[in-house]
Amino acid sequence: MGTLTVVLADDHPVWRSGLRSDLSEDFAIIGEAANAVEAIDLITATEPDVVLCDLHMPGGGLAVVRSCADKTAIVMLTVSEAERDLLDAVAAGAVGYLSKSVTPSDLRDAIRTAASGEPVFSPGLAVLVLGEFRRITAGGHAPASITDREREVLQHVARGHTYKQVGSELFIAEKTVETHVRNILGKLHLTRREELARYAAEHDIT
Amino acid sequence: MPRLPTPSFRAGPASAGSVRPGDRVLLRAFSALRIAGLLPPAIVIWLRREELDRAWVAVVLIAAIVAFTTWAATTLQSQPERLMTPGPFYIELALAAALLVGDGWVLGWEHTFDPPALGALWSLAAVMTAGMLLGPRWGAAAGGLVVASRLAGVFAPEVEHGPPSIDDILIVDRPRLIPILSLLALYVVGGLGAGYLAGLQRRAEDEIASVRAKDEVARTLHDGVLQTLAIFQRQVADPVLARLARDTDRDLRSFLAGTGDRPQSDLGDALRNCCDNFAHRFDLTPQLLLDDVPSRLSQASVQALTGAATEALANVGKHAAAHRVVVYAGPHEPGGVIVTVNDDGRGFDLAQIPADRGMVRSIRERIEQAGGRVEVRSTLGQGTEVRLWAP
Repeated sequence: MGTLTVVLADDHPVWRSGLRSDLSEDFAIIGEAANAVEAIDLITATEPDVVLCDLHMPGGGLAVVRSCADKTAIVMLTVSEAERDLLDAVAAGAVGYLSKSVTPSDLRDAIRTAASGEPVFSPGLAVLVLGEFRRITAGGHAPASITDREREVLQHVARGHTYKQVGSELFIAEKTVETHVRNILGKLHLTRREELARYAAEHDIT
Repeated sequence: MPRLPTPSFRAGPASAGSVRPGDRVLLRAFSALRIAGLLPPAIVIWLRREELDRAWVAVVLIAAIVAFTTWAATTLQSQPERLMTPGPFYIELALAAALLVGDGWVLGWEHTFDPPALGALWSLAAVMTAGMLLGPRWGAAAGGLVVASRLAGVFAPEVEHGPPSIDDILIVDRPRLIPILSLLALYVVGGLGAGYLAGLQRRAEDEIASVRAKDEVARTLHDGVLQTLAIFQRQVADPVLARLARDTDRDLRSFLAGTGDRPQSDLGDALRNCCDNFAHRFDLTPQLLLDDVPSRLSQASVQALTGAATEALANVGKHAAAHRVVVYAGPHEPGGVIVTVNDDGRGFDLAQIPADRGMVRSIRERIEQAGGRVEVRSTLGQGTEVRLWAP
């Protein structure tokens, strides 16, 4: 595999140039976009390995995920970790999210993980997902709930463990942890889609 | 002279477009009630047309309420705020009272104590409007007033043998009071209930609006200020400026955490505090993750967990040379709470540190006093995790 190609999508030029200087040594930054429409065009034209995409740029990061998640690995970048949009983006197919306070070395690791097709599952995302499934289960209309083992995996990730550490804590292989994480994301995708459909049906009148 | 309380209009006089959605719903309901209220008098007048004393009074009254009803229904569409001003309201209330008194004039004063034939439903709409505009107490008062005005009929000169004395009514004719008393109860409860409901609705609306406003503030800060601070922290070479940006970032985040929709627990606040202090002291900001922390923890548990977490963090800062610290708090089955402090630092060999010494010992003492337990895992080169359980 040659140098990984990366597209940066964020409406702040200063932020993009900061990212570029952090990443250009290890990755090929093949394009920058300042809004959702530009990003979608750019991704369609260049098919990068990884896209770093701001959640709140004009047009919304969610729109980029919705139309490009099947073409490339999209990692959301956000300043806020407590937003439902974030969960929507991940449920719509983003491979994960990173806080903008992430260190350059963690960012580089995350890009490599994303390019290899693995989810970038941060502790923060694990907590969000745990909360989401708790909410769904409490609401009584769960199209898919997570298993006890999957919840354990999430709790370990939330505590800051790497997949390898989670594996040795639970006496399972690192690969098995990855499978659990993929299954959890699949279930999240399913429940969010059902919820959106139900929401649309319930709010038809307004 | 004692001062009479004066009614104050809750929502008016309002400017165009400022009628709350909830009030608009009520206005629409009252309008429907008024339209429905036109039907009974029309039917009654038609059915009893032979026995009417003064048909023209009935016609005038019905014409007046039809006119008011029509005006109110069209005004509701174009200028709903006008329906919330005193003028139309007093006219409506006067019409409601007139309907109840006029009843006797048209059908004979001996019907004064009978259920009203003309205006029961229409007048109820007026009383409920009073409740909505003036609050539950004035709504109830308006109900009482409208019914009392009907009693004016007993003093009508044409009643045979003069008006009945109080004794006549109370002693001889007590059962005759039942219909008027139930009417009184209906109107008083109607005015009270409408006022109470309108108040509840307004409070709920205010609450929703304040939550929305807070969300808006949070969103604006996220989009602008926090974004700028993130850029700053990444780009600025000067350590003092970078630190300033980081501190501001942290302060804003803890402010937002307080305004968000997630309920905060004592433990969550305490841990946030201890992470803030750590970030001030060492050049590293812990990531704090709160996963459904139980809100009913004993003060002893909260203190022990916070104290132990502070100590574990201090150890990370002094010895671990970590790049990342995660402080997690979450529910523990079957009850209680677990707090972990995880770093990716140097780690140490647990065998080298006797369990009865140093930080491990003092953390253990704190937690065990609160009825919990402690576990420390560490691997050389792969970081350390301190796990704290408490009931």
